[in-house]
Amino acid sequence: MDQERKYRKFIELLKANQPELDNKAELTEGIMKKIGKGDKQPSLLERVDDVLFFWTRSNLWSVGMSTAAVLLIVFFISEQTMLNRRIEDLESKILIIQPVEGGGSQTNFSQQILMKILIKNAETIDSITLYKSDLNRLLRDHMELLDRFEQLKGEGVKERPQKETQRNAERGSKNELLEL
Amino acid sequence: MDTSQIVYDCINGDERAFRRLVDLHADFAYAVACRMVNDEDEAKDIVQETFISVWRSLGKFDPARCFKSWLYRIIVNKCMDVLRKRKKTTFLHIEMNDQLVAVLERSGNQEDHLNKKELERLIEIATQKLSPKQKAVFVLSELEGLSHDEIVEITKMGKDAIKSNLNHAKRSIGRMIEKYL
Repeated sequence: MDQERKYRKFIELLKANQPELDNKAELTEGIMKKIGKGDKQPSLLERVDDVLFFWTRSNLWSVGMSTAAVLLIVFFISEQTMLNRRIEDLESKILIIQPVEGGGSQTNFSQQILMKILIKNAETIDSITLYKSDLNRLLRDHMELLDRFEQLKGEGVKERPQKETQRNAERGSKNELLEL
Repeated sequence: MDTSQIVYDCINGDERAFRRLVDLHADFAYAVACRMVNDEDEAKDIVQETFISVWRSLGKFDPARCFKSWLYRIIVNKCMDVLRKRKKTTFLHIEMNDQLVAVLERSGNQEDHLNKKELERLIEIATQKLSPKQKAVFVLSELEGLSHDEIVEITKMGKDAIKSNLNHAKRSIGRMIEKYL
C-alpha cells in the first residue's frame, strides 16, 4: 500500500514538474537554420523532377543522352529529306483525275468518259490515280475513236433513210405472212 | 490560425508557418523527450532532429490526420533510438535520495517543486530498470495521459503489449521507489 502511495506521489510529482525549455528561441532558430541549409522540403514539382530525371544529374548520362538526342535529330532530318525527294519524284510521274460534274470543256468531258470506261461505279469514287503516259495514250485513242465516230455518223446520216425503208418493207412482208 | 492550417502551409513549403509550428510544439516535444531520455541536452537534440524530420517528411503527412500524434510518434521513435544506443548506467547517486524521499513523503504535492537536477535524479532512479518500450509506454500513458488507442497509433504496438509493458513499468518503478527512496 505504501508502495502504491509512493508511486502515485511520484507520478503526481512528475506531472507537476514538467520539463521546461529555457532557450526556446535559440532552439527554434537552430531548427530554422538547418532546414534553410539544404534541408528545405522540396516542392511537388521538384519531387516529380527528382523521381523522373534523377539520372540526368550524372554528367556521363547527360552527355550520352545529349549526343543520342542530336544523332536522332540528324537521322530524322535526313530521313525527312529523303522522303520529300521520293514524294517529289513520284508526284512528277502521276496525275490525279477528279470527275467534274456537268462537264464543259472537251478535256473534262473526255475525263468523265474515261472514268466511266475504267470504273464501273464511277459516281461513287471521288478520284483515281493514273500514270500520265497511260492517260495520254488513252485520251489519244479516245479522241481518235470520237473522230472516227463522227466520221461514221456523217456517213450514216446519208444512207439511213434508204436502209430504214428497206428494213420496214421487209418487216411489213413478214407481218403479212404471219397474218396469213 | 489552427494547427491543421499551419501544417497545410508547411506542406506548401512555407517556412514562416513552419517556424510557427515549431513555436507551438517545441515545449511539448521537449517535455516528452526529456521525460524519456532524462537528459536536457539529448532532449534538445532530439527535438531539433524531430522537427527537421517533420520538415522533410511533411510531403508524406496526411493533413486530415492528427499532427500531434504524428509528432509524438517521431519523438518517441527518436527517444527509443537514443535509449537503445545508450550504455546502461549501473551507478546511483545516493546522496540526493534524502531530499527526494522528503519530497515524496510530504503531503500537498501541488506545491512541491523540484529543481531540474532533482527531477532528473528522481526519474533516473525510478526508471533505471525500464526498457525503451516500457519507458515509452509509461511516459505516454502515465505522464502524458494518452489512451491505449492513442499509444497504439503512436508506438504501433498491440494493445496487449502496451498493457503488459505498462504493468511491468509500474511494478518496476514501484520497486525502485520502495528500494531507494
